[in-house]
Amino acid sequence: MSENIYKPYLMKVAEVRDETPDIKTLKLEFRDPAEAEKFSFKAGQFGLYSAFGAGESTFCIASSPTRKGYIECTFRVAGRVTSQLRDVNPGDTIGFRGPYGNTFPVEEKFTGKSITFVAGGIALPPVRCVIWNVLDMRNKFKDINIVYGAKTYQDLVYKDELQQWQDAKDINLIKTLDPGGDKAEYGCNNWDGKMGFVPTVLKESGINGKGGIAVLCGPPIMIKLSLPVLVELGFAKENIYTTLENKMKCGLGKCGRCNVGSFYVCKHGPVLTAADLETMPDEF
Amino acid sequence: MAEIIINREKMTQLLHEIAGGETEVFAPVLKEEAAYITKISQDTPIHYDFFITVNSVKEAIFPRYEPILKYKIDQEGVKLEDIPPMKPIVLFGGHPCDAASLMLMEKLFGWDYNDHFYLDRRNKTIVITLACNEFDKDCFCTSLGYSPHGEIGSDILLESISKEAWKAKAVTDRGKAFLEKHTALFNATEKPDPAFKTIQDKDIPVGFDKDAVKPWIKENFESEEWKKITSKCWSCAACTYVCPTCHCFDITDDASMWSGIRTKNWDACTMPIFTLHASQHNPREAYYQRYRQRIAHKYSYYVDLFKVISCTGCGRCSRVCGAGMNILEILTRISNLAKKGGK
Amino acid sequence: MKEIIDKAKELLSQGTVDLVIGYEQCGDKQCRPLFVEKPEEADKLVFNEYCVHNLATYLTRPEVKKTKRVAIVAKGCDIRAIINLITENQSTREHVYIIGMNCPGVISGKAPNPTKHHAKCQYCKVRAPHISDVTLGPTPPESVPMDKTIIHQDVEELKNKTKEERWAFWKAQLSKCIRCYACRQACPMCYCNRCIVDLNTPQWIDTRSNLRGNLDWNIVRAYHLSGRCIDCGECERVCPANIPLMLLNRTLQEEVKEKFNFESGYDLEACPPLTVFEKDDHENFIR
Repeated sequence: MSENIYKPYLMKVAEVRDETPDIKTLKLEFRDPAEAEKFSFKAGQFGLYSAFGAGESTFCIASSPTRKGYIECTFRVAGRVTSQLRDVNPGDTIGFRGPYGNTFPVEEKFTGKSITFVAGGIALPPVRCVIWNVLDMRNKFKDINIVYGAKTYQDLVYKDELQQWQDAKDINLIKTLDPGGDKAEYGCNNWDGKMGFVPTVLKESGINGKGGIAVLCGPPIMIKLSLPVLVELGFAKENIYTTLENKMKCGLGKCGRCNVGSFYVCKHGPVLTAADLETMPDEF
Repeated sequence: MAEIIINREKMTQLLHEIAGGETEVFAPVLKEEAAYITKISQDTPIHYDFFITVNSVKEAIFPRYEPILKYKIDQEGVKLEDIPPMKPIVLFGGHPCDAASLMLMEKLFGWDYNDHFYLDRRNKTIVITLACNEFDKDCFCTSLGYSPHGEIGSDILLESISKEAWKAKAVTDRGKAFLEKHTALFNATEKPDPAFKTIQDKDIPVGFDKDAVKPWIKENFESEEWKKITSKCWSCAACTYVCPTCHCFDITDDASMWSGIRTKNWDACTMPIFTLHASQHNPREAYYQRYRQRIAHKYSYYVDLFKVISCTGCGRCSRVCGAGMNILEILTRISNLAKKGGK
Repeated sequence: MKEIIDKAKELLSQGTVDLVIGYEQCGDKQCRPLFVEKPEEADKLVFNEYCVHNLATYLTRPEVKKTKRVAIVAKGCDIRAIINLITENQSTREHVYIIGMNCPGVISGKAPNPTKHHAKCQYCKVRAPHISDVTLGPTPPESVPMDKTIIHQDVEELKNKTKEERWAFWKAQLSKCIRCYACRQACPMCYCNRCIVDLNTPQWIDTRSNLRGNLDWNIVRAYHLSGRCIDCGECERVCPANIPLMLLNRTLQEEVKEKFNFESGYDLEACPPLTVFEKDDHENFIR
């Protein structure tokens, strides 16, 4: 019988982490060890995660492809499916379809260069998978800069990993909060990072973009404001990578929902460069 | 080879016979003064006196809703169940524009990932097409290179020789085998009626330059012209659902505590919340953006992906539109603007 | 019709309105809506028995709401919709310049029988518009008196069937629904920013076009319209599946008339009974 492309893998929830009051990370392992053996993906790809009974939702694979045997996803609780995913416990089963989409050309184009990661708020997960992919092969790259900010201290995701990156000697981490985001009511104790919006902090960072690669992800407004700053810092447009998000249902190029012009985010994306963005209709 | 002739009475007999078995049969049925392609049973009256069905043949191969996954949830976790294989289908009553659309849809459903729900069904379908005897102002198959007696996509083409009889032509091997299998019914003795009029390609004049549409759309995506073209549209999905080449769908779950079913259901890019994000951002918030997407997808993006326009000129969208939108008029307008170099 | 063209040109060139919504001819026996923003475009405006659309449905569109003032060519039935939109705070009397049309009746416009007059026209109470800024067109036949209670023949026939027969009838009819929502989009009273069928936490109504989903959708829409439906019949006209939607809506109209003695859309001061409450409303259903 023909293969059913809509059939998900069954995944066991191995770990649940609360990143913020409304953002969770799930660590998932394949229930079928044969499937775990065969499975592989590359940085930038995404999947459709099923909460059986509620439906499917699209998130990137937030863990690095260098780490075998499990995948991680991070999501904000925003609707029907994510509300049900919020309530899962370790041992529960959810579904996963993937990996779909194109990838960051880490081996093909990033090696030997300096990489600058820029992300805001909930947009860190798709970038985090590339960060760990790169860090797991640290000696293949030159400088690593990470510029990450959120609205308030509470909204920062992967707080322990931020600390690891801050402590590491070979990573330049610049973390920032929006003005007013360091108040005690947000759980903040002695904020030792910058204060200001990500594009502003990026501008003042002194990072030299010449010959380097930038990986940028954030809400549309942040991308809009950060792109010119990156160009100013010396990054070439074809070296600025971003990952797009659009409403998706099938992830396979069939349901007709995620296209921006003839660019299907699930097939031709989600990874694209700033040079590509310029050729697309302003329908985003 | 002797002419293969069949008349209405024998066609009804044939379709009813097949409908009694494992095969699903779709044929035109009269409902409230109009003809619709519907799944029939052994005694459903079949309707023949119609110009074109309101809906298209896509219902047979791409149903309005179909299960793609079933699951059970118990103490031990989740168990997935397979969907049974697709049943064979006999599809009767479409016109050449409908048959051509099946070839177009195959390209999308087979793009990298094979959607076996569509492709298996398509491969198990015998398409019996009625060549056209009439046309109206909304038809424009010839503008897209199709024909009122075209064979593309059909297994058997029936051309009228009189009001109640057709001569049958096998277009594919599958069609030939079908004719041979049912040869006892394809032996009517009606003689051709010289007074019976059929139509030729030249009867439907080409209305616009189909190759001019995509470049205009690419260059004029932000043109104010779109707002003028779409001012009347009220964003329902009537055009999308009767269109033979529209294929957008939604995937939803319907479940109780212990079991559930995931289905693929028709959806439409013209609907207001089609592209609504969970963050409440909607890239196509305005009416004109959605209608522009529908036209651009058919005449520009599909061409980029598959080198062919996703439209066969059947005109159903114009006929069914309650607000008076007419796709032929819009395409002619775009084609004229493109010629003038206008925006 | 020359009167409309002249009026539209006058309103636009004097800046009284920025937009005129009317009808244009688009075939032998077919008209369709026309948006006119410049005086020179007004020459296409017509009014005849094929002008069946209810243009009031455009009044709740964002781009129309943003205009300084909009003129709308409206028959008596369309004006009922405009009045309802005003009483429900979706528009204001000042924003809409009503070009009222004397109307002897319109053709239901449904192929293949486009010569059949609309059922609603036989019992029309507003052949001469009841509220307008200007009234155009030749004097129409006399309207049915305002205080007459209309008995719809098809509704009575349905009421006389047994419960089982009615259930079988509606099941057969509503299983044809393809959920295109043309009925919702054509209806001037359906203007919710987020329709109940578009909500998904929880998913009140199944979005699939199976029997359960179709029954839920059509019945809920009829209920949301009860006391507000103005009997324009657009939903039934635009339905690709030819479902007798007006039979359902008229049944509820008769219920509302019987229980609340109310017909919507005739009085700017009145409010639909199911959207307001008075302290002396009867409470005999609370037990």
